[in-house]
Amino acid sequence: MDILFRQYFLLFPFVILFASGCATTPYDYTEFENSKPRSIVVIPPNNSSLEVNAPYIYLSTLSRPLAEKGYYVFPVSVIDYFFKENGLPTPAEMNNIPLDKIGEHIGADAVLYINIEDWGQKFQVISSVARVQANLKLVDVKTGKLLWESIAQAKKSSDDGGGGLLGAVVNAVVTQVLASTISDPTPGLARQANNVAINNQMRGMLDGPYKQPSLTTE
Amino acid sequence: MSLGKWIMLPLCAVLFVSGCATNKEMYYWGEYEKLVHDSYIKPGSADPQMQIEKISTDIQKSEALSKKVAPGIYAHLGFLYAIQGQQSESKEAFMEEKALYPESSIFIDGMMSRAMKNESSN
Repeated sequence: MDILFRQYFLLFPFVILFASGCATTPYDYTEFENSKPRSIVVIPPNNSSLEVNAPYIYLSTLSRPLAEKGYYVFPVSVIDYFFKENGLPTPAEMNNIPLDKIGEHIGADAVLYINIEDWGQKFQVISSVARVQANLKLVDVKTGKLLWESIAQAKKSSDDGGGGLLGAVVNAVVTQVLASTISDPTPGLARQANNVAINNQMRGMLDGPYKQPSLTTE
Repeated sequence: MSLGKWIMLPLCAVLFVSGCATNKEMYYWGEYEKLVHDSYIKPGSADPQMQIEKISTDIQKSEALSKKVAPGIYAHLGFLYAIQGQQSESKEAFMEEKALYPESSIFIDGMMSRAMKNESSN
């Protein structure tokens, strides 16, 4: 009985390895390569999380990694203002704009659609966990084809620093006090999440036209 | 044991060097992300005039580093000037965005023609 249990126990990590191995199979870039977008308009994100500020916090972190990846990124605040001025007050409505209208008025090659799945800090007795998770979909404006999709996610736990139970309690208290005053960990986590999703070797975005081949040789 | 250490050392060095190489950015971003964030999340903390000053300073810093001004920065500046009613400064910034990034032409031309209509109807 005991031996049988141990065998199953040993099998378990292999199952995990196998499953995560499946998730990192190389991405099919056929549509992305056919489309070769030069410019991306980021639509203010849809929000399925409980944090009402999540869409605009997240929006403020996306221009930089996309531009550094080599794309022309339309100015996010100006685009948001333009939509609002044209009778679309919330991200939910902005996400339903027909692609031909985006082509006609903005002239973008691709649209980045985002759905925020999880956002914010949860406090437990001896720890707190901050988490961001969003689905990203890059769509060709002319053909409507999906060029690329990914999940951007990052998590930070107050007891990541170690220090045992007492350390965890102290950390949790400090984190909660900080969270109630100034420091919101979500923009930093979102940057980490974006960096992994966009620049991942196996299934990140392809380089855009402004990406310099080698920055190390300057 | 000591062999293991000697193998780890170059490995760490490689990781460190490649880490540096990938951290290099094409553009200077300065206050832009914070301004976008604060204008939504902390209403009143990033009024147009203050944003104009910070973005203009960032553009100077970017030029001092001989980096190209990042996508959207001049368009954002032109938009802020338009809100402030400074039409010639607005136009100048929009033209700059178009010159740097022709991908912005359709959107910028649309904004400029709407701004002109608003001006003539006032």
